[in-house]
Amino acid sequence: MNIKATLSNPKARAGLKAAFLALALLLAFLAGREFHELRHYEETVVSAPGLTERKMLSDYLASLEGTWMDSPVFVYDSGVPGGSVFVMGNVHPYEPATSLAAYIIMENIKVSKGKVFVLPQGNRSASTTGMLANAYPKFFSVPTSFGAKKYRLGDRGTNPLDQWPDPFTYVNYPSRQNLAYQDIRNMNRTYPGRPDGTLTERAAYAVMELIRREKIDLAIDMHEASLMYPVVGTYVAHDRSFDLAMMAAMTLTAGSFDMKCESSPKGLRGLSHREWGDYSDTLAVLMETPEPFIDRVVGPMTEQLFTEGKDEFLDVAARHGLTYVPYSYETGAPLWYRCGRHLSGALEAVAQMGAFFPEKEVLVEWPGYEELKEHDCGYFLHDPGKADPKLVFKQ
Amino acid sequence: MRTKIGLFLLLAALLCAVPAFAAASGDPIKKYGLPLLITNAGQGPGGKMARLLVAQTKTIVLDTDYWYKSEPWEADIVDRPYQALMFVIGSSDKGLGASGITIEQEIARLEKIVKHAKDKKIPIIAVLLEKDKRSAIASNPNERCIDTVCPFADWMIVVKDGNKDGRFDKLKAKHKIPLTLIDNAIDFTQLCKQSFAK
Repeated sequence: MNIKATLSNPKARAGLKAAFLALALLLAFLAGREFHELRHYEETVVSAPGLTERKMLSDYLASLEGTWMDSPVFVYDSGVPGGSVFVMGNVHPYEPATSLAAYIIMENIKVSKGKVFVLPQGNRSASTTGMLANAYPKFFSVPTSFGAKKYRLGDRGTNPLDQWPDPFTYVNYPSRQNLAYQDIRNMNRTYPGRPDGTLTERAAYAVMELIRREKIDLAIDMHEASLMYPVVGTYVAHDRSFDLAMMAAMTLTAGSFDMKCESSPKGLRGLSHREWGDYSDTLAVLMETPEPFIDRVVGPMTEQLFTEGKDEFLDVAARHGLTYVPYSYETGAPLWYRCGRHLSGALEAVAQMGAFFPEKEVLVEWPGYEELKEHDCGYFLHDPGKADPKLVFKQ
Repeated sequence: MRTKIGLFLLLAALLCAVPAFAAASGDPIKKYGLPLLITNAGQGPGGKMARLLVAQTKTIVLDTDYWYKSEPWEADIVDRPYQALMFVIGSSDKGLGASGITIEQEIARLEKIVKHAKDKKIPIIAVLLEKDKRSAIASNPNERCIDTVCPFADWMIVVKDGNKDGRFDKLKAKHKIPLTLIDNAIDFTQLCKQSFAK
């Protein structure tokens, strides 16, 4: 076939264009179906009976109502005077061991003194899209006795469908520090936020308002980190919470698993461990757990890599001393390990707050590292089909 | 009777030759008076860790018996009659830049302080509490801090896993410096209780 002759024929050219258009539409439809599935899939959580109230972030900033950033906050109040704790997961939903850890807390929590607020989806919008161009799976599953439970595997930043376009440079408010342009959609660069800012800044402001209005004594922000990032397996603590986080880290290291502690740098703005402490009276702590899935050197981004954390390339990197925590292919960094670290890390921080500030003591129980090591995550999730419908939530 | 006394003396000598609690090993715990100044070598969290762990003794009181200064200069180590100067080694994982200085500036400052402490005959205690603050690369900030402080130390206290490569054993042998190892950072409290007497 003579291509030149074909292209010079108007009818043939039109036909070719139509074929390409049809192909593009087909690809757009297939891709759109994938995006739509992730965007609209709802996760199910069965709350423990101690739930006393379900609020929304929009209760703290009304303009979030009806947006994809509005997200439920679950309150567990013992009724016994004591301190208050706020635990947040999925500010970066490509680190979803944090929302799973928050769900395990919600499904098993028992508070006997003080109260606990849990926000499992810190950036709900970001959990409705994947890391663009990273070929991530859309979901991961946790095996349970009643079948596999499916959860979203999201992005680091707010879904561009909800906040777009990004500027050339993002300037954090009110510090005026210049940050990478895409960080305008990164909730953990937008604190303390502002009520009339971008959607992400407004969500950050709502979290600040929650902390201020509910007089949160200890605020915990759960994250996952690549193993080649220095601040992995670490508490990062604001100045006021540094001692309790340091003590918690040393206690965990002596008795359970290695945990480091770093002081929140004053020069890095927009992060929870800095701005929560600077713009409220809370004791702010961020926790990082090792997630091989988000390391740059790993092989195919599969669900198995996410749940088991086994990667031979990372193993080679670890053997060359390039990771900041010990790692081997044999053990990997499975989901139970990452969730367990967060669960015990949060419990230890709560315990240390009580030791340092007895008037802020909170007495709380949920499964920790050792329990997850023995039973894995699914053991602590409850069957929505058999639960009290009032305690079953979809989000 | 003579045998009993002999055995008693032997037992006493053995007790003196090892640290007096299970979580410590190596050379015996040394004794120092107070006040004590705790500082960093590398601007990592180690100095604050030591400050916190000494406070946990409940007997040695911050800003009364001991002081913490992250970046002291020559004048700061003689503004009180310090009986010992404790350098806690380790650079920040968040980056030394977060402290507003470079590793070269930190090493230069450490060299001055170490020299001044030696001139003033203030004993230097080199401490490593974070086992991950080690590297096989000699130019690593942590290794440079070890090289700057440890050869001039009067005593080294190191968390056991920080000495897996025998780095501190070599320093002990080369410079004849006692080395006490602790199992975990949290054991530093018990050690300080025994080491610093009012």
